Amino acid sequence: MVHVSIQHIIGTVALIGLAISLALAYQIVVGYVEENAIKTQLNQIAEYVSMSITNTISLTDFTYGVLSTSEAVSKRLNLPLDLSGKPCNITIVERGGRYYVHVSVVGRKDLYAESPITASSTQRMQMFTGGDLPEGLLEDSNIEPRVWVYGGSPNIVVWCLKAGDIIYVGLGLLTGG
Amino acid sequence: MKTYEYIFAAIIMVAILLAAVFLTGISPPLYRSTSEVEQLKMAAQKIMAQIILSPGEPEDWGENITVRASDLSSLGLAVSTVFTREAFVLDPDKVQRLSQSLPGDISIQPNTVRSLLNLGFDYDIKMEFIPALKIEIRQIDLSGVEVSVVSEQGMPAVNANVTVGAVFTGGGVLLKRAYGFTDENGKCTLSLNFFSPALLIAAVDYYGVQGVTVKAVGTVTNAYFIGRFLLSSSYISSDEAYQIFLTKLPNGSISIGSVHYELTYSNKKIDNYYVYEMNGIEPYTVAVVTASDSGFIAAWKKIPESFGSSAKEMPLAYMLERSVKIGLSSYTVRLWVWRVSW
Repeated sequence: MVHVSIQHIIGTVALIGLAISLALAYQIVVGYVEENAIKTQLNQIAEYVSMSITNTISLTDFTYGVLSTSEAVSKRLNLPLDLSGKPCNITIVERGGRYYVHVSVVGRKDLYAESPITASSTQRMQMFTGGDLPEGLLEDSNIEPRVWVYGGSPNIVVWCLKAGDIIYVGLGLLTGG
Repeated sequence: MKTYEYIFAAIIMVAILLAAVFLTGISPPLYRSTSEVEQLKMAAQKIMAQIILSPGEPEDWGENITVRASDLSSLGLAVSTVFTREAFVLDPDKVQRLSQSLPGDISIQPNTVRSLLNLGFDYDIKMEFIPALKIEIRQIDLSGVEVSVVSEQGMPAVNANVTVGAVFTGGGVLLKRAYGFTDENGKCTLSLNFFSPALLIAAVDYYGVQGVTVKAVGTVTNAYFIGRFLLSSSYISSDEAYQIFLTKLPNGSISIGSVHYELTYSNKKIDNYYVYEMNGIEPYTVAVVTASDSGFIAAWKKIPESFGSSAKEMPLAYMLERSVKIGLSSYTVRLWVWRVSW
């Protein structure tokens, strides 16, 4: 009888162990699939923001290109509140003189996507990636320029403004509305 | 419980895991492919906006042949104007500089365009410039030409307003013109006396859609006309050049005119081409002609049919079209964008 009980205990423990390892294995697979899905969404967000930046620059240059100053032109971005429950950050980064929209999941530096901005920063155009903006720029508008924005905010905008023959472009938040 | 029952239970558990993994893996690829198309669409829209709405920097990079590919900091084909902006109007010189038939030093290579558009190794593009009117001009005998006009869709353009100009030498540079309308087959035969070598220019207005074509008849020295510059493969002894320009008349027809400008040798050569500069340029100039000791020299704007990757197969490419004006002619710009790496 003792012999049979030990056999049952070993068998049951082995089955429970197998069930737990299978659950963990499944969790890993689901995590991998979820990461891929999030990465795809990040890519889509990055592409959308970079397209909006290009369109806003084109619109500003086209409308105010012949003038020395302009009103602030902005486009409100329609972004998801979160990606599978994970919040994301959006910023513009500069690498080797070129600019990219960088979207990353908060707390996960490895989970990010980038999209190139076709317009490059030149003498005529300055991309806001930090540092100081000319004094008074965007003063009369309800836009608060930001180096990075939190993807869940409903008031994210791409802004563009021409001042002194230079077109300034960046991300920001719409305030008071 | 017997031993084989435990083994059986284990096999069932593993089978459940495999089934779950399989089912989990089914839907993401479907979502991914939809998302990839969406991403390509947005990438195509931003590239198109940059190319056709921005003049690039420096803004005069098309007409200024001293600006080389390495001097460009931003690429755009839109016409550069001082006081006004016109949407979807491209600069013929900028478009021409995409032509790979130009001397290598002034032609813009696809790799340069990819780099200026910041596409890196992620995307590749191909562009096509499709004329809204396909115009063919044919000399039928010594005193006549036939012009055939077909729409982009291949339908004959009936009752299109046709103006033909023949530029040739005969005690100086002469311009003769003839006017007419296309018949139900989209063809128009016009009486026009000229001597070979000559340059034939056909300008067509088809209910507001315009097109221009230029054809050389006889032996004409190879030359290029960019901005105020004339690049000739042979030395030009003459000190004047005739610009052939177009003017749109209120009745919709297009008039062809000519005016002569001073031509000076700039003491420069680009890829074995002598570089000459004119002291002015008329708006909508389509060709430049000069008679020299070395013969009849003619140059006109050459719009490339396509530009970009020579790849024949473009897996999962997104295509976007926009109607634009290049000079007076209407074109459709077709842009293909695809990802090289994901």
